[in-house]
This record gives sequence, structure tokens and C-alpha cells, in this order.
Amino acid sequence: MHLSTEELVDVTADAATLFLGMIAEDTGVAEPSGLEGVIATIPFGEPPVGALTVACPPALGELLAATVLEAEAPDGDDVADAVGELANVIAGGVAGLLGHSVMALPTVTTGYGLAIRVPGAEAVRQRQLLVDEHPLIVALHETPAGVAADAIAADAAAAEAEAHLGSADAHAGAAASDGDPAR
Amino acid sequence: MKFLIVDDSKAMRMIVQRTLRQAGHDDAEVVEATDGAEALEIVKTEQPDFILSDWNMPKMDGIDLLKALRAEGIDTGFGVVTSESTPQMQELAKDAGARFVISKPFTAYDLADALEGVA
Repeated sequence: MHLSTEELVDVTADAATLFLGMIAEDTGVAEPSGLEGVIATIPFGEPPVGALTVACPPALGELLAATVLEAEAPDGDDVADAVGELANVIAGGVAGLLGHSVMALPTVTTGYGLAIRVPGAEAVRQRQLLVDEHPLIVALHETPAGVAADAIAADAAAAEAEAHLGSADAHAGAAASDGDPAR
Repeated sequence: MKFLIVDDSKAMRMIVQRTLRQAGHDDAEVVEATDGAEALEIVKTEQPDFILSDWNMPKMDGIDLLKALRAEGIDTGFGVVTSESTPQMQELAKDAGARFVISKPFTAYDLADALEGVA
């Protein structure tokens, strides 16, 4: 199945509205490297066939957490939770449009010089939206047809973070499910 | 009316609670659990009138929570709030006794419609 850029942007904007009550404006193709902030990745499909990644600068992560938690000074765990859940909501919408299920919980990495890279998969969509003047990057990676999916990972090199599908390797409190098709 | 909101994400528990208020349940009492296993215990002590639960959670997911409740003879109304709702998930939830499955992102209207007549 195919996901258009417009569909990816719409799903992302709807999720941003749920979290922030704000409009997210599409500003074009993203250049997701050398990022500072929070990156949340969640695989989808059973077996995994791709991953959805969301990245944002610290200021937007803090705004997300502060808004949904109604807290003035959210801590790092709160920011990771909010960005991870945003990725989860977007991944659910994307996976549904692609005819897949989300089988895992998000993995969240915070740091500097981050890159959105999913080994074993190729980026098919990367867009940047603007939310309250902050960039929100969303990227969709899919495995090429016939390629084993267990190599897919979210790799944030500067933070030395790597989360392989099917494992329970986790950061910021996220953990993978056991892959029961009912989930 | 007392709701139990079950979600491993603190942010989503807050969003569900906020949306519940916007859906007309602004006087509802709300208790929370971070996964199905914790919810199973809280149900017994708090005796909520309705449960709004995520599907994908660590320790015990939403569908296993629902099955565990019914296996113990607890028939509290149960709605699933999840980031996806494939036809297979809808059928599983319905067969297990869920009143509805709604997908995130959702609006106050979506939640009000889902709760109409069941809570």
C-alpha cells in the first residue's frame, strides 16, 4: 500500500492538534540530520515492515509536555513521554492507512547531533511541519520488498541509542511488546 | 460517575481526562493506572463505573485486562482508546466484551458519541 505526503502531513497535523490544540503547517521536505532534541521511533507491522519517527527540538518537546500535563516545568521523562506518545498516535494513523498494526511501544532518545536513520529500511517520506514556530519532523521508513525486517532499528548515533525491533531494548521508559498478533 | 483511565503514557492519560471533561463529563471522578496489571488491582479497590483503556501497554495490555476482568466476573463497562483500530482489533475487543474502540487522535465529540448510552 502507499501513503501520500499529504496523508502523512494530515495524520501528523491531527495528532499535533490533539496534543497542543494548535495548527501544524507543512513547510516541506525535512533534512533530518544533526538534530538537537527528542527523537521518538516506533516500528509497525507484524512482522515489522517499517518505522515512524518524530523529532523535535527541546523547546517543542517541553511545550508538548507542559501543555498536555498542564505543568509549568516538565522534566525530561515527561518530555520523552509526551513526544513518544505523539509518535505513537501518528504511527497508529500511518500504520492503519498502510494496512498494518503497531506492535511495539515507542523508543525515545534525547541528545545532540541526532540523525533519523533506520538500518535495513529506506526513508520514503520525510516532512517538516511548523508548530508554534518550532519544527516538527516526521519520517516514514519502510523495508524494501523482500528484505528481512528484523534489521530495522532506530539509530541515534550521538546518543549511542539503538532499538532493534522485537527486542525489549528501551530508552526513556519505553519497551517493546512481545509481538502477540492480538496487540 | 467514576472513570478508570488506563494508559502507560502520562501524557495520554491527561489527554483522555481532558477530553472526557470536554465531552460533558466534567464532574467525573477519575482514577488512573499505568498498565493492565495495575488496573486489575485498582478496579477491585476503586470500583469504577467505566474503564477507558489503551490497548498496547507493558506488563498487561488492554485486551488481556478486559479478558482478566471478565474471567473474574467483573463486568464494568470497558472502552478501548488506542492509536489504531484495525478490523481485527475491533472484532477482538467486541468479542471480549468491550463497548467500543476509538482511535487516537480523537475529539471530545468522538468520545461523547462513544460514551452515549454506556456511561
